[in-house]
Amino acid sequence: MSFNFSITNSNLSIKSQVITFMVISITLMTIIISLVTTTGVNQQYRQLMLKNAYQITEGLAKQAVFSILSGSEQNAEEAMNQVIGFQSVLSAQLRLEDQKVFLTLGEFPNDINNNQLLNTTQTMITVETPKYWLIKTPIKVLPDNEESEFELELDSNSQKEKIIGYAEVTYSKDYLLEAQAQINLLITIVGISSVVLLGFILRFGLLKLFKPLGELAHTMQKSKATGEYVLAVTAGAKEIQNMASAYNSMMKALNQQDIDLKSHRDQLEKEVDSRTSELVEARDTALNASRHKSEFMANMSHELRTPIQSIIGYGELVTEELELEANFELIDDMDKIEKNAQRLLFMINSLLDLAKIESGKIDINKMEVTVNDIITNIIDTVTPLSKINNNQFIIEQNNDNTRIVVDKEKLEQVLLNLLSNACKFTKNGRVSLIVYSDKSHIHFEIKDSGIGLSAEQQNYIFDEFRQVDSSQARQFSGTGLGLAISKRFVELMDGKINVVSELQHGASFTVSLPLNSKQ
Amino acid sequence: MRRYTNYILLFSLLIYASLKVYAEQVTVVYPDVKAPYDIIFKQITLGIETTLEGDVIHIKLPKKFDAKKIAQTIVTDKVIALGRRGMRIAKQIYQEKPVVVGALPIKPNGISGVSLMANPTVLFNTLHELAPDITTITVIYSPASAWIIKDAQLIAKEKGLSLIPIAVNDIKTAVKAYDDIFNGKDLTKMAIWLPLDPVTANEKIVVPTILEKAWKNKMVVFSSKPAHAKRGALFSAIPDNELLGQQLARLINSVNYKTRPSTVKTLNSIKLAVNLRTAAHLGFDYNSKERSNFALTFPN
Repeated sequence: MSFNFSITNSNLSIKSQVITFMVISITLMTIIISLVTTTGVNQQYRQLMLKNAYQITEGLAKQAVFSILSGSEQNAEEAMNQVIGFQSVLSAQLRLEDQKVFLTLGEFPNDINNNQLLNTTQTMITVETPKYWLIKTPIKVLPDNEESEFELELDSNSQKEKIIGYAEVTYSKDYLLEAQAQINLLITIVGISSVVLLGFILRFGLLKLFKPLGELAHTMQKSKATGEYVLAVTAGAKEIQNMASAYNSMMKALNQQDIDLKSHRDQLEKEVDSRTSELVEARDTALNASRHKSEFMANMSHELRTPIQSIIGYGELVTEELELEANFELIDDMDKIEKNAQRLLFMINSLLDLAKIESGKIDINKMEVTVNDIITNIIDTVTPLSKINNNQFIIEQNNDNTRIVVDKEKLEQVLLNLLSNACKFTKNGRVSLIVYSDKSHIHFEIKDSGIGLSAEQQNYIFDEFRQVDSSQARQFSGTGLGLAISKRFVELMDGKINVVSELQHGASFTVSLPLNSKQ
Repeated sequence: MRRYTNYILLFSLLIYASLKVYAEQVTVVYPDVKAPYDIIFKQITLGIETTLEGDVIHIKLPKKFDAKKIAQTIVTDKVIALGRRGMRIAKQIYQEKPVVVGALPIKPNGISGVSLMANPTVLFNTLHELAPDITTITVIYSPASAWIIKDAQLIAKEKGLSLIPIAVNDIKTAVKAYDDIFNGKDLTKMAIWLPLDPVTANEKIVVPTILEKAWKNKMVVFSSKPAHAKRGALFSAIPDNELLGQQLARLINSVNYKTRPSTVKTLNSIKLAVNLRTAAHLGFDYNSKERSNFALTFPN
């Protein structure tokens, strides 16, 4: 597993991995071949030397027959000297049939055990040490039964083969070991040379083979780094050429797409510029129109309010005169005139406030007041309103003396607007004003049990000139500016207004104002 | 006149009768061997045919055969058996009809024949011609060749030679005896005779060593076996096969199977094989006349 890991390391290039893999494979293969060859050659060489040793020993045995039979050591000396003359023969010995030593030439090693006393019937190794072999072969008297094609001899079956002694030769392994060492060295040198040579050839070949791949990778890397669509050179093996061609096709396609995108982008930018300029123009036109409208509304409101106030004023004078004359029938009519004039004035004031807000001409007059001051004024106004629809007006507050810095008139206008709406849209229910504060804000929550608001209605009730719906508009009178103005006022005082409501389950408007508002 | 006529008639009848007998059919059994080894048996049978007047029936014996069955197929009264295979047939019938054996180094054992053992007279004559200085001949023999020794001693004595026979029973004593010979002091006038003996002339052990030692000691070795001259003996006897055939043909007519003991004769007709290199080593130089008597010389 570690082998796979090492040669498939993703940090290495494919070229390095292939070269590493091939070199390791060749090395392993060479080692195996070298081992097999060395073993085979050494074994063969050993067999050859052993065969030679056998032949020498058997030759001695044949030559020693006469001397053993004659009992004359002199007859064997020449044969023994010949045997000793061989390069690897250390010593030679002749034994009689009873293993008694007949003749010895050379020094027999001292560490030879009693194996040599075996009565062998064929040539064999009786002792083997790392340094030598002791070969033993029987000395036989063979029957003179030479088979001739002439058929001129008598049968000699009566004569039997007989062992009359043994020839022993100690055969040195020095030459074998030296030859084996030379073979091992030669094979090792050849093996290493082969690995090195093959390694170089492989490296040369693979470098040449992988060069186009490397160039392709380099081109890709360059393209990635620069963002340019660099084309690769189509060269090398078929697969690499295919890859380069595919890459080039992809680059060309991307380049074309890029050109198209740039073209589209330029076109879009032109269109956006064109639309933006149109929008700016439209916006400016709208702003001008809005400003003109606000100015117009402010002027108109001012112009309208003056005659209405004259109407009201003169209405009050007429009413007083009629009261003095006790003409009560007309007084009722005059009340209606006054009431409607007041209503018209309120509407005009609302429009005037909205216009001032939009034109940025309204001022905030912050002053330090207590909550109690504000609630006292509100109670006087709201109590009669709550009774119109038979509602119960409840005030809950625990911090009467909390001092806050607000535009008192505008806060009162906001709270009155919200409370009057609550009284207007609640019948036979409850309208509550709950005042509470936390560390940073004071909260005025106006809660009713009236008809409530749907989620959709909650989204637009703070918009100008929006009422819940036309049918209700007819049922519940109003300009549709109250909540819009209230929201603007609260925001001018750095506060927030929000609503929580559910249709037919009442509504809850909360005005939150900062306690430490700057003056 | 009538009287002479009757004698002539009687004489003619006797001659006819003798011719009739002489012309009796003879069967020759011999091994069926392939060429060129078959030449020996061809030459022997030729010698037989030229000597016998009657028809000669040839029976060639394959390597494997049933001796009894073949013996039963022989219809003639006289049989000449050649070689080892022929000996097997002879053993089947020698007590029923006249049989002689040839082309084998036989010894007297109930069956008559001509042994391949060369006649000592011829050998000693040759020795005297080729190595005139030799006065003593030593022969080591086993029971296989003992039958000839006595005659040989007499013949040697006649020739003024001293034959020293040494009897042995096995190869070990034979080798020791040879070793003793070579350890002797004066070897220059002594020759070693190698008889056709499987023990004392053992081809693998004795002959190579004897020839080697003889070479070293400049001793004369002669042999009854043809191949020994090639191996280093001064000379050896080669049978003259055709004459052998004639000798066998003559013998078959004289054999009476009912009489005992059998007749075994030595080989009278021999040729000579001489090793000229050995001769030169021993200091002998033969003139062209002498050489013309040699059937074979070595080296070729």
